[in-house]
Amino acid sequence: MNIFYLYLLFIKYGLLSFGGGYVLVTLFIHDLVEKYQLISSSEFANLLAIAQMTPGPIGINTATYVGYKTFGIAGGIIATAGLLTPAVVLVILAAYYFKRCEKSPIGQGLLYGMRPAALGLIISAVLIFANISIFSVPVTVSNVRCWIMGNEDIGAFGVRWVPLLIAVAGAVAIGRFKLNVIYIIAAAALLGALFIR
Amino acid sequence: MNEAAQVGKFARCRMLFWGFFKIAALVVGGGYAIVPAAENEFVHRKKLLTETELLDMMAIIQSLPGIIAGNAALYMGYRSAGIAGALSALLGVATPSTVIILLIAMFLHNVNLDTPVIQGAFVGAQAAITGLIAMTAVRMVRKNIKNIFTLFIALAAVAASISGAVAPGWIILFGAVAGVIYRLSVKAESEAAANKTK
Repeated sequence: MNIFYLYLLFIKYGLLSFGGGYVLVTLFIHDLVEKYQLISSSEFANLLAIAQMTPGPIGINTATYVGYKTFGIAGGIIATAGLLTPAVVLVILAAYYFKRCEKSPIGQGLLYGMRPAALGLIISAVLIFANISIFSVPVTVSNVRCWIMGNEDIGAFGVRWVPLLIAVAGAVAIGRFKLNVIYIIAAAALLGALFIR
Repeated sequence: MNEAAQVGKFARCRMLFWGFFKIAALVVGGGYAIVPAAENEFVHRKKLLTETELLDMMAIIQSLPGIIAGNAALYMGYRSAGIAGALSALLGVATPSTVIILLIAMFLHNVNLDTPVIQGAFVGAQAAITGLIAMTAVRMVRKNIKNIFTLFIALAAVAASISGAVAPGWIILFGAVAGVIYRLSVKAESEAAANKTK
């Protein structure tokens, strides 16, 4: 393993990461822990906790950490650069071609269907974020099925009141008072540190 | 003419770098957190793009590989200031977390970050993001869901996404194909109707 190979390896992950960083976690376990043994499984578990406990995209966090573990600071930067390299080419190409064809009838048709589909994904993200903050047991298809069948081994449906209040306050702060999102999230983190246990 | 069109390319690159630098520090719990943050910073404040362009961006970047925040930075940067803009925005999005993780890996790897206070801060931030995304979604629904077709696609996307069985890229592709078929058939229908009245 040399630093150039590390770069190529993370280019591969950049190409395979459809739908965000979480896809990478399984890939990292298979490759970095088991195949190349760049990092032990307990270290990887620790890393995942750190990646989730620090701001920033989880994919970038993991790439930086694994890169640092193998080749120091240069490794951290190289691995991150590798992860982002495919996107630089693909997204710029897509943006370029899209700009040229978005006014055509086919382009308009594509957008007409893609917009509501993307909106659907954004709507379902509300549930994803509520599951990790507001609901005490995640509301997923399989959990809902358990509740309907009367199986409460997973824990009963529950709402955590402080996060719910923060969510409502955040919605009001942006919807009614048009506050800056940066300040809203910072204030919410402070409230969370003080009042959420 | 919007504000962004009047400022120079260098100023736009700087705007993109710092905008995404701030946003990257707030992406906790997944890439969708950038949607309300980018809407606030780039649509309402800096006016680099419209709300519809933001939705178009989310559609296009999710049909490509790559992490959502990075792809969003590249797309928005390219649209508003070409390749230099794309690279400025990407540097902005990658810098905070790279530096934070390097510092943690160097100095704090033995420190327990999994404390109730830090946990609480993250849950608090994620709760606020839940409310913010919900508001963004409501605004976008009002603007974009205008008929049975768009309502159907949006509901199908929600169901497919929540079931966890379909990857986002396929959901967008399904919408794209359905959109082309719908628009072409509506056009054919209206032309047929126009011919009848002749």
